[in-house]
Amino acid sequence: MLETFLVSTIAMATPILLAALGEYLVEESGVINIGIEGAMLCGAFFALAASYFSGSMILGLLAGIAAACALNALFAYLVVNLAVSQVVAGTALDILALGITGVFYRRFFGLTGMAVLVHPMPRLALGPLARIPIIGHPLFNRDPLVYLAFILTPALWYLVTRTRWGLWLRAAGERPEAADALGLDTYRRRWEAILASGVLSGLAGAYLTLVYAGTFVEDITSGRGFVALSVVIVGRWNPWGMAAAAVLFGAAMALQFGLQALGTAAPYQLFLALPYVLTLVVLAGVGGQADAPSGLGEPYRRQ
Amino acid sequence: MLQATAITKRFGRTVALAGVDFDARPGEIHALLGENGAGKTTLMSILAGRLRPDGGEVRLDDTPLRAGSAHAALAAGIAAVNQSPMLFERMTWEENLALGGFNSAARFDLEVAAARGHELAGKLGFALPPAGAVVEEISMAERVRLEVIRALSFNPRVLILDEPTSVLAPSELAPFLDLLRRLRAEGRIVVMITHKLAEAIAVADRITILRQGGVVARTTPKETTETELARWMIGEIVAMPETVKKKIAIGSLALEANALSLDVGGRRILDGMSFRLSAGEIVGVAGVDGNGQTELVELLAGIRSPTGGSLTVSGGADAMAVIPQNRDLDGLILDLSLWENLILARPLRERMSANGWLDRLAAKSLCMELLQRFRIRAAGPDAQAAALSGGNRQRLEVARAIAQKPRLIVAHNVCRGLDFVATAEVHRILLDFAAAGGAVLLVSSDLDEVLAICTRLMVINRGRIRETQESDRDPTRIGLLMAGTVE
Amino acid sequence: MVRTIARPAAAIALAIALVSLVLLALGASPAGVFAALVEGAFGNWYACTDTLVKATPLVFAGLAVSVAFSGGLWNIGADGQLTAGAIAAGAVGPRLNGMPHLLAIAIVLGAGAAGGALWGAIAGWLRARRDVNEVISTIMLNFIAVQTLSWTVHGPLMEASGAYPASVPIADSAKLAFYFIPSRLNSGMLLAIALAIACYLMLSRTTAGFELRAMGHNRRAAAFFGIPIAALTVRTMTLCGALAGIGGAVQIAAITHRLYEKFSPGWGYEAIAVALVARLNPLGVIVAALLFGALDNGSQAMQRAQGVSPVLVQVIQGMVILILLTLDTPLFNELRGRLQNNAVASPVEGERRDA
Repeated sequence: MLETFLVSTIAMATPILLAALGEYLVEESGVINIGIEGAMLCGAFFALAASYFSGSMILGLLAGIAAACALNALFAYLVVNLAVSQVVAGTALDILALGITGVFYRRFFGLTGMAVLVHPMPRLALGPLARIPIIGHPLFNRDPLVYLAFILTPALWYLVTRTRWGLWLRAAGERPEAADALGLDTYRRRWEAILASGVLSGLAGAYLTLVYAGTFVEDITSGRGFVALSVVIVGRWNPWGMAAAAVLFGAAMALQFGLQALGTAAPYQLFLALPYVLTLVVLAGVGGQADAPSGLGEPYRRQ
Repeated sequence: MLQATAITKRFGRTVALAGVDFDARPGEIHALLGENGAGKTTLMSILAGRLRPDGGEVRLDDTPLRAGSAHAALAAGIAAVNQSPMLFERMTWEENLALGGFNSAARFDLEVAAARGHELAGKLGFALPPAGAVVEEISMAERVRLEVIRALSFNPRVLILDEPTSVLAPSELAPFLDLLRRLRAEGRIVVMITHKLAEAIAVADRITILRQGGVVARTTPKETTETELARWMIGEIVAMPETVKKKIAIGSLALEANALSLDVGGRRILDGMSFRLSAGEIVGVAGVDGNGQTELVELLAGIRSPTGGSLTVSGGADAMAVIPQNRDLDGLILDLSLWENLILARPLRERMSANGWLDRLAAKSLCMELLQRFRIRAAGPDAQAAALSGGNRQRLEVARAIAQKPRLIVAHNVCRGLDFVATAEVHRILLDFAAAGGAVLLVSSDLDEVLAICTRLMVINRGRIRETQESDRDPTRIGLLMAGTVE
Repeated sequence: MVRTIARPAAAIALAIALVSLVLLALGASPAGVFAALVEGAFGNWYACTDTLVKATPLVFAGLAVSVAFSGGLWNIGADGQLTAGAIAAGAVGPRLNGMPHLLAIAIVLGAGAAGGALWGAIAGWLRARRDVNEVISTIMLNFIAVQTLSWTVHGPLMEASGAYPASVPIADSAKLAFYFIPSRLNSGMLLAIALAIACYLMLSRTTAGFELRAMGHNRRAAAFFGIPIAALTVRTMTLCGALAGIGGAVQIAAITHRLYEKFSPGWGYEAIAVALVARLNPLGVIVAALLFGALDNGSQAMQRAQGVSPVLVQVIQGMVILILLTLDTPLFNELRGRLQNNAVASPVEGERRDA
């Protein structure tokens, strides 16, 4: 019972954390990407489609990454080079992605009327670790993407807070014109962050179809991209905090599935609303957005 | 040798630079002199690769620089220090240095950056802030020094400084000019942008004068005089309109501040200010930027509430008109029309509306009237504020303040960026207003301005205000007070 | 006038061209698809009336977005506000049996306005008093509204049999009548148009509207001149929430008569496209809502005739927004300026700039 719950928690938390880590990089560079839901959705659909037609898991992952990156490249061009409103552009990409994946899905798969299934990604047991009671199976007998999320959490923390690239990234997010004056190339830093986020949202989306569901349904992300936004805020722009928030939200989702399955009268919607409510509470609490980069969301246009 | 040839730059319809030639040699301090708006900063931005010129090229030792690349300029050895420090205010000063030229490894080392910073600062004879201090906590002078160190961290052959002395207190000036001389002695090219004639004559080896986007003269301090430089800068000597301070009968109390304090983010910005202002007075608040002036004006405008103490405006908030410092950001809404900008002022807005409905015709006719009365050059009340020149924008703001028929006008750096004639005109309007029984609080970092038109003078330093006596009325003495070096 | 509609028209034309390319790539016939869309939206009397019906919630939500945007408030939350209004209307509606028709209608719409206003006010209050970016808060509130709706139709408001996740139907007295049955034409559109006109007058002719626009153009300057930014932010978000909430209530009173999960198919997001195409002009919102309502209405027929998913409409929406954003950039304006006239009148005399 506990083990099942933990397995489910990790499965829920992983895609959210992957996407949130990407959003974290983007926000540190001074950009807010609401289009992350759309990028995940593209990743989810195109990973499944490529995997289905080619029979290759790797090609599927690559296609998911490529699709999400393509969407993010469009976003980057609009908000970095053209300095349009990040909020409106992100929303437009969410709408666009919902439309494109829906149209493609029905065109390619909708006529058969059958669920499109792929073999889920194989698990990779981490030797003796996987045999630890209770936590061994849920944590160390999982698919490689779970381990990737494990590794990326400290890696991105180190990258952003301890390396020169990270310092450049934060400089671009803090005061873009000053970063440019030092030759640090704000546009380039933002492009890098947005494309890196594309890779991670692509993987996050692919996780939903290739690992979790084994199939695609329209709007399969159902707000997970926005939960990733919450994770960044609740985690106070710190990968460790974000990992904790992702696991918390994952647990809430796992719990509500359990409640629904048990058929109890408990309002499971409360658990689904938790990330959103918690985000508002954290933002409204003392400190508000104090940990966010100063330049977050402000369009910046080079002279 | 640094050489710029035929540099041209336009912003929209405005020509900022029209075929400017400029050169500077190793081992010299070259002053680039000009009025506000002459194109000095634009030229600097182009030299430093921050702005791409529309025409012309920059060469360093006969090697052309890639246009519009700050990275290429720094790599070639051109570093620049900005008018207002371009630092990352929420990072520590060590991180700010690490973003400069000290580090090359992938893993940046704050300790190395700090050590080399200290070493360099020691050579130049000043100290850096305590370890781990965040930039927003350190003083303006410390920030300027930090930015100079950061620029020097690139070991530049050319150092360009944009009005570096404008945020320094007068007492900090001499050591700073010494610093420039030492950099010259090291064989570097130092380009100093300034609009202060005395400074240019005191420190420069050569002087280039810009006016309205073109070079009007090249000279040396030995060959010229301040009067001649002024004529080049301004174009023609305009007789300064009489700004005679008439003996005015001091009227009733207009404004009283009592032990006014303000904390922002745990820091004390205003510290127990008490002062009074009466009808007929023009009271100056002189100080180096960043000592609490902006916050004081914001308090008066009602954007902020004091942490302690009280502020009383006789006749209520609507008896006061505020002219904020940054006219393009705070004072006007550039993409609204002129008449809409007028009714931005609450008393006018209230006069121009009935039962919640705007009387657009009345607002437009008031606007028309003010355009004529204050000789504001504009197409009409429906023109966008963005279409006005700087001087006309400022006239509009002053006109709006007068039209409110206030008892008190608070003006913050009201003539910054205005040319000679426009400045004199704004001063005359304020003097007339006071003569007619109004009170003026003139917050300004321009010492000459406050000495010229104020009937009484206060000095602001680190959030404290100090009344000066008639005996203090001497630029050196006031300068020391502004720096906070004498009590 | 030509100038104001030139860009939206160009954006729509360009979006249609791009969508045609996508359709070609998918092996569908663009001409066939668009013909089916038009046929479905305007092909007969019934289709035309249903286009009006489909456009109605878009006018309400579009006003909620455009009024907020005019004040510089990025209200992404029209969807949640509309849903909150619908929940309130759906909760009150069943209790109005035997009440006079007009009173019942007023109560249902009032409940909708109150529900939406509450949702908007939360975001406004968070922005004004807690400095919480309204983009984030309105997005979060959208999802909270969705979950609240799901809870109400599974819990307190669930219909008597308990078999379906839907609420008890509202009282007959609270239902808006249909005209020209079998059409679903109702007076909701008239209310929407009246509100659009009111919003237009408010923004362009009243002091309150001026203060709102001043805040939208420059928050700091507005604050400097005594415009109460915090209060105005709360008031505006409350008003916009109410506008969207009425939209939700109208949908309940006129069309669905009850709540169910996924009540809004994304009207609040579509409303962003509506508001931008309308250039934030409340009167333009009516026209833009009709356009997008027609697309929504035609999409079902298009699917039947051409086998293309109706979500194609969202591809068009997304593209229209992106293209409009691009057309509004300074970069594009410079380009256009250069193309149109190289020798524009000389600069205003004395204008200089020291950048």
